[in-house]
Order: sequence, then C-alpha cells, then structure tokens
Amino acid sequence: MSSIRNASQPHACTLTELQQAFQLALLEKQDEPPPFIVNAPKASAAERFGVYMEAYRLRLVEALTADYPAVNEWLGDETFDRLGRAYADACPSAHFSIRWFGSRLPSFLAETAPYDSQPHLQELAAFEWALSEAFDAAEGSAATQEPLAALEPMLWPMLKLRLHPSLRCIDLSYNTPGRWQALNRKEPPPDLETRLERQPWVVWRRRDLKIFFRSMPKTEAWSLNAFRQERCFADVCEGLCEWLDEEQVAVTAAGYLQSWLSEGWVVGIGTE
Amino acid sequence: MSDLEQRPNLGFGLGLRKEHYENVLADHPAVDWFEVITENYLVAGGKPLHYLDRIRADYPMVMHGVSLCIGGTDPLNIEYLRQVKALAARIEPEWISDHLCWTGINGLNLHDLLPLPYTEEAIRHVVERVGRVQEFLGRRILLENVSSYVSYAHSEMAEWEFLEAVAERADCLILLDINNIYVSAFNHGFDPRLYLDNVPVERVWQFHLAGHLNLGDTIIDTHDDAVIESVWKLYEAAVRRFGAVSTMIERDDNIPPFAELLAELAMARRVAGQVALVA
Repeated sequence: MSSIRNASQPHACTLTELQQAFQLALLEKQDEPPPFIVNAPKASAAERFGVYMEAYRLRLVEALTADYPAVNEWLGDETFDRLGRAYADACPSAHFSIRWFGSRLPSFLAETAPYDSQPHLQELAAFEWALSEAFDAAEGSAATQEPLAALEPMLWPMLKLRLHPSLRCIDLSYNTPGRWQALNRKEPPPDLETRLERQPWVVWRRRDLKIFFRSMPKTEAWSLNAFRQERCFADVCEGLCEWLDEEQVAVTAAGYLQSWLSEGWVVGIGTE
Repeated sequence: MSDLEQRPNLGFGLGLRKEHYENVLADHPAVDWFEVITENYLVAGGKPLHYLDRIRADYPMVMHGVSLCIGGTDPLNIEYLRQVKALAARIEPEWISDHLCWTGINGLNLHDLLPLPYTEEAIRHVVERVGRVQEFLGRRILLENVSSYVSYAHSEMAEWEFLEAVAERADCLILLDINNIYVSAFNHGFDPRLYLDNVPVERVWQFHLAGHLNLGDTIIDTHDDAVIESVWKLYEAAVRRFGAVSTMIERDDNIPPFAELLAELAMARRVAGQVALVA
C-alpha cells in the first residue's frame, strides 16, 4: 500500500477542499503537489501529480491542433505547443465538451504578445474557427427555387429569408483562404498579401457535408447580413441604394437570392 | 428479476472513431456493437450526427461520457444532462456510462478523469448525485473505475470498496475497465486480482480493454496501443468471475486500421470463449 508522506499530519480535508487545492496546484503548475497526495511505492507524490499537470496541457494542446491545423502548420509544432500551453493557462475550458475549448484562440492571438504583432495569424485562426463552426452547425434543409418563382410580384417587397445555420461571414484583410488551403495540404503558403479593403468571405456546409468558402462583393455581403437580421427584400433594396443605382437594386438583390438558393444557403422563404 | 438476469450481453464491441466511419458503413464489419463518446455527438449537426445515425441503423450502441463529473462538488450541470438525454432519445443506446471521478471545479472542466478520495464523505456525495442523474435520465447508469496516478492520505478504504459502496447504495451499475485496474494496481501497488474478487458480480454490465504506456515506475492509461498480455490474463480472470459481460476495446489515439482492431477483438472473443468452454 502507499506510504503517507507525513504520517503525523494526515492532511484530512473535505471533498471540496481537496478539489480546490488539486485544481489550483494543477492550473498554477505549483512545484509542490497538494499535501494530501502521498508518495507511491515507485514514484514520489510530485512525480505522480506531474502526470496530471502534463496530461492536462497535452490534452488541451491536442484539441487545439485538431481545430487549428493550419495555424499549427504555419507556426511549427514547437511554437504551436508553446502557444497552446499559454492559451490553456489564459483561457481554461469551461464547457462540458472540449470541442469548444479553442473558441477564444483568435482573440487570444489578437491580444497577446508576441502574437499580437502578427494580425494575419489571428485572421488565419478566425478563418479556421469559422470552418469548424460550419462543420457541426445545425442542419437546415435547403429551399428550392420554386417558391421564389411562384411568388406574386406584389409580395416581393415583404420577402424574408431563413439562412442555413452553417453560414459564417468573415471579413479578411489578407489572402488567408489561399494560405489556409496550402497549409492544410502541408505545402508552403503563398506570400502574405494585404488587401487595401477588407474582403467579405462566406463559409458554409454544403448538402454533401463538405465545407466551402467563397468571397463576395461588399453589396452581396451587406444583403446577406441584412436578410440574416430578418430584414425584408424592400429594406435590402433600399440599403443597396448606397452603392447602386436605384434601377439596379431589385435585379441585383434578386440575382443574389437565386445564387444563394442554388448554393443551398436558404432554408426558408416567407413574406410575413 | 436480479441485475444478473436483466444484464444484456451485447457481445464484443469497439469504440466508434471518426477515422473508421466510412469503413464501417462500406464494409459492415463483424463488430457486435459500438460505444460512442457522448460529448463528441453533443453538437447541433453535420458529419458527427450524420454518421452516428447511419451507423446506429446497423449496430447497437452504448453512450460513454467523460464530463458528467459525478464526484465534483460544483452543482450537476443540468444543461449537459439535458443534452445527454436528448442524444439518448435520438440513438436509443443500450445504456449510458460515465466515470467514477471528478473533472473540475469552479465552473472549469479539466477534461481529465481525476480520482476521488475513498472516503465515506465522497460516497455519500456521489450516491446522492447518481440518484439525481438516474432520475433525470430515467434509467440506471454505469460508472467506470478510472486509472489513477495519485492516492490521498485521508482515503479510508480500498478503491474496490469505494466502487462497491457507491454502486450498491446508489443502485447503479458498473463498467469495469480491466486495463484501468491493471494500471492502478501497478501505480499504487495492490493486487489486481483482489480488486476483481471484490467487485459485486451482478452490478458489472460492461468491460473495457485498452493498451497503455509503461514508463517503468508509472503506467499511463494512454489508449494508444494494443492490449498487453497481462491485461488479457486479467480479462480471463474477469470473465471467469463475472461471466459473459459485454466487452469492448478502447483506442483513442494512434488509431490503427480497422482490421487491426478487429483482430484484437477476435482475441477478446477467444479468451472469453476459452473460459466458457472450461466452465
């Protein structure tokens, strides 16, 4: 049986005290394990507690590796491991599923030295997280073109859309999607290019469950966002007048709708 | 009817891993059932649930959770339980299991299966929570013995006594992990046979088998390698004591081709078959 480190002080504590002390020592990487942990026949209490301290961080870094393979590829394993451990210390998991542990990595990169001096890194992480969100977002059954074709012209202004839950819109300042594609194939990425204006992109899950992304003109991105906010077709047309001639707006917006329908982005059409 | 008479024997199963989804659907391998990690499917949609539903159509399943935190001193996470219950309604598992451990406090999840002190206080605490979980889910759960690396100065009993007390008083069932017994026996210096001989036969509804990493002075429960000979021997002793119990092999890392896991599962069938023949 195990030997007690200090038999004169059995270190009795309540279950809550034990868990508080254990977790604190683990999170703060304390040199000494909590006093209630005893030496084992073949290893010291510190060595054995070290198993938990290391396993905790390894598991979290492994979860990040799965969510951010391109960031990992860009930084290399050693730097990514250092990043993952720093992130685990700063943003411990509070969710029952480890799937959500990495959700704050993009903002961590944006706010923490030395990563904050590389905004393209934060953008790559945000793009990867959007991909992962699209991967297991809720289902949505894509609407067909028929209800739109059959819509009475007088009802068009009231038209509203429900969009696929996997759609994620993201504005990018760099050639991040192209770099992601190369890194994902473990190839050297193209040189970093900065856009004069942030480019809207959309990420979504297709009917065959594959994840796709494409860029959009600013007007299309604005329209998509307006429909997401439950604005009607007339509101969208009015808003588009900021960029387009009044005669063009209805045709342009109707064109967007058709392409969104064919891409499976629309799951509901209504006129309420 | 006693627990032993009620105990279903699902046969020999494997853990369902995403690396094998396509393989399972295409080849319909000779696996009697699959165990799924509950949390992997507590998502809104997409590939995980798509494959889960399709594979469930062909195979019996059990749900195995890692975040119930039955021994934790934070309040039970009701939102988690609600999602577990919804998943169970979706896939109708034969049973739901989790671990006899704690996983975090103060709202944090350390995503590790941390050992409890073997005290009367911990028994009372866990028993009360198991009662509430079983009432919420409308079914009895299985609790699994975890591998551990540390022991606590104020533990009042052996691990198997703790496990028995929890199972008996909470009226829950046991998922006995044979590899975890071996790992903990090595790490803490007890006789694994003594552990086996003191677990109540009628409460054990499932066995786990897995590989581990032996560092010489400590064994780490890595689930990244084949089951070793000593664990097969312990499994043989377990089958002799507990009878025909649903058995599965866990592989969570270093995932090999499916055929390799099938060969390992055939080994489990052979070991259990030989015990049955002798009996």
